[in-house]
Amino acid sequence: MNGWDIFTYFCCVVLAGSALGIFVFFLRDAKGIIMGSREEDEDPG
Amino acid sequence: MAISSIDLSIVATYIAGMLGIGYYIFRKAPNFEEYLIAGRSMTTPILVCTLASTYYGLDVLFGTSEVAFNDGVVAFFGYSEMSLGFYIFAAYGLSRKLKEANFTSLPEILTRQYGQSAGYLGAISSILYSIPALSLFALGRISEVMFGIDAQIGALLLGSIALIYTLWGGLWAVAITDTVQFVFMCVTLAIAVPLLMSDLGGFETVAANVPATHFHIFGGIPFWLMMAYMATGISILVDPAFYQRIFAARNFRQVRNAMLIALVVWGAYDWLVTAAGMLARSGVALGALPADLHPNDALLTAVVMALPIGLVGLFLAGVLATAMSTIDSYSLVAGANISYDVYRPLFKPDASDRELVRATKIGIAISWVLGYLLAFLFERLMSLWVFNASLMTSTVLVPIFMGLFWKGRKTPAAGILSFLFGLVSIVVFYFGISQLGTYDETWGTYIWTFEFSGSSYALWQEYSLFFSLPISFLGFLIGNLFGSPRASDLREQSQ
Repeated sequence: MNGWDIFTYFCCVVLAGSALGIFVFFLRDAKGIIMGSREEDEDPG
Repeated sequence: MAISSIDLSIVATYIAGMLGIGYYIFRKAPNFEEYLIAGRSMTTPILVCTLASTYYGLDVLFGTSEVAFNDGVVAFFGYSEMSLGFYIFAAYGLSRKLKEANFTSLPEILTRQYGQSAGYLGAISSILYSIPALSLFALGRISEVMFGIDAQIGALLLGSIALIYTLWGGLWAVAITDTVQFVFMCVTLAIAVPLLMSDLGGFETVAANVPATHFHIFGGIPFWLMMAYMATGISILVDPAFYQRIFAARNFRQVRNAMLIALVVWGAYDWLVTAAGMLARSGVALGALPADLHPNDALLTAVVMALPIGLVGLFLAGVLATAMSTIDSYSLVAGANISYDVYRPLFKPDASDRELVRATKIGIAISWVLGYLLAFLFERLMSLWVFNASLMTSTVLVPIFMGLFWKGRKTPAAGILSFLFGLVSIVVFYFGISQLGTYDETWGTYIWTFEFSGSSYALWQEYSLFFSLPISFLGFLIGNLFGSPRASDLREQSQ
């Protein structure tokens, strides 16, 4: 295993880790978006 | 390409999911600001995904891997990472200015700074830039390679999916689908490359099977050409879809953080695409991949070989997603330019919210149809579209940046002349070099070589921005010198 291999594995971890981490935070925000729409629907005004 | 029924059903589920998201947003009946810029409420996670997936189309996925296959690590160090400085400036300087001024569209910046005529010119430039001809063409080609269906029919069917969910849900639908697409693409690529390394050997095997020049960081590219590649990265500073996401952010901090995170993601993504291209080249030398493998298909063929059933479906969905996320975003931008920046000021200044949403939807459909016609019916015109990014940069970069950052006098003539000087200079340069020069097969471009004072010089078509941007700036100076300020500006000064 040389330096290019290590760099490639590092990039794999960074890419997959960032994507999954961002998706978890997105789901948290998406919950807010859905709740927001329900609040709008329930708002009589 | 043989694809299992499990993988096909995953792709079909993905397509149904995209439509479901669009329909969910449609039922919420968003108003114009929600439809176009998500009610200015986007947070960092969704901004990262939509920025990364919109700006990274199939050109990066297949173009970068093709360069890596042919030339090696220069695809990463020379082509992809040279323009990082522009992204960092966009994160810290540009996004703050844009958020402070609360704009809705890119042409609106020109309208506010130089008047309505400059705004119309900016809208035309933005519409031309955003028509999704290249991405629809690429989607057609992908459907041909992946599913064996005719490119025109593939682009029509799959492009229509992107059109439908964009029409239904506007920016929210685009951004949420971008997020799912972003995760598919990143995770499958991050799994595929190590599997490819395990199948074909790591970089020690690659080094034994590719030319030694594949590991030269700048690959022998001439200095000025390297500068020209770097200069193409400047297009992000005038990219209307990029601006739209800045306008859609909840605040400056959210968008700045998103851009900085996206930089890390883009870097890792670029390297893995480069690595996959080089591994594919080594795989051809080892006999693991077909000897006649086209460099453009290297990534797709190698990754599909490496991934197990199930993950292939996710990867193919991600590839489709890469094209669809570009089609949806730019159709939406072009549609908004037609409705908000042309139709509203020209025909209906008092247009209601519902009318604007309807006009935007009509604009999205028009831009999609134009893109399809350009991609498949007028193939000669299609080649002109390649220089679209240079055209956009040459015409609007100087007036927008002077408008945002120059605190002194700004006249309508400065905005208009800057635009027109940039337009004329880029067209003259681009077509002049193609007439005077000769086509170089090695570099795939026109080069004009001439003698001056006993020395020989070479002008490449890629150098266009080195000429058009200073000429556009000259137009700004002339317009500012001889033009009159707007009446509203004069009133402000006198108070």
